[in-house]
Amino acid sequence: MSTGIAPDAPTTVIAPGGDPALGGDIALVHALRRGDEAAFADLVHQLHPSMVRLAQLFVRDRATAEEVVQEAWVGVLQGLDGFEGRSALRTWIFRIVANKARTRGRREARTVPFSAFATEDGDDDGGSADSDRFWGLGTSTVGYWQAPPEPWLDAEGRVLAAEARDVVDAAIAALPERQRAVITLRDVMGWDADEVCNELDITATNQRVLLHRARTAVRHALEDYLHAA
Amino acid sequence: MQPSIEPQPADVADAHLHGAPQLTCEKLVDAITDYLEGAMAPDDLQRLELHLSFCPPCQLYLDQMKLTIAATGRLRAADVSAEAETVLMALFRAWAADA
Ligand SMILES: [Zn+2]
Repeated sequence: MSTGIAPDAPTTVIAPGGDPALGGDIALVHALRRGDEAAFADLVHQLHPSMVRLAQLFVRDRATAEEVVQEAWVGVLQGLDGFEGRSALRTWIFRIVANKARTRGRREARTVPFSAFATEDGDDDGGSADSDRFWGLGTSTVGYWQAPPEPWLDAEGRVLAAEARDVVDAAIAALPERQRAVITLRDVMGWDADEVCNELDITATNQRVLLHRARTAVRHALEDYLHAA
Repeated sequence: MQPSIEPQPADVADAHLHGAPQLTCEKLVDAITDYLEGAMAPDDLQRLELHLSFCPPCQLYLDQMKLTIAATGRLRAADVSAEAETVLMALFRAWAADA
């Protein structure tokens, strides 16, 4: 996970006894305390969209997530004096967002049972995600491709183009809750596996299973989209 | 080389592994996230890489999975609405004036 350092922020200040890589965060905090509006605007552009995505994992809708994130920004500014550079500024900010969003989600009586890795909400059903694409038992090629993947023509161009964004976004939105949370944190926001396990209170194995199902579903959505055109 | 008999993937795997349990395409697809996460036991990793070396459809599947991950990462860069930015900058100015 990269730190939330503005590109032009001075990086010479090192947190005493801390990770030298976090020095840029300390410099950024000093700039914010000086009232540097450009530094704050940079930080907003870097983090705000991810903060809204994070909040949306815990609350009902986008509008509520935006509200929660606005509250979180207030919390960030009020708490800035207490930021000591022990963790990355970005990590610290996301923690504030997650806490506020969780509290709000609870108030909405929306249960987010991440800690109990339950099987009843559809996260855990089914075996192999694409099992109908392989030869079945009783054939000499059991387990080998019956319907192999077809090449995606102009794959890089089309998959990474803006039009595919909506396809990926919709596929993620349609996932069961835990799969959606894991792929959002890992592949959209770029957190590492340990951070995701901590945030969602799941084991490393569960994290990989959920990530696998989520990625398989998104690949499938892209395949349908590319072949339909 | 017997050009008249096209080898089945299973035969190729057996020829390489001398009776070690073979990895099918389905098993490879199931293990692909473990592979990308670097979470495979050395023996399993070796079998998976061997399978990939002779199976173009599985190579293609792996490439498409990597492309899927890249496409998902594209969602990270999103715009901040002008409305949100206005509110947040006003918050910042008020906070800075107060400090
Ligand atoms: Zn294969």
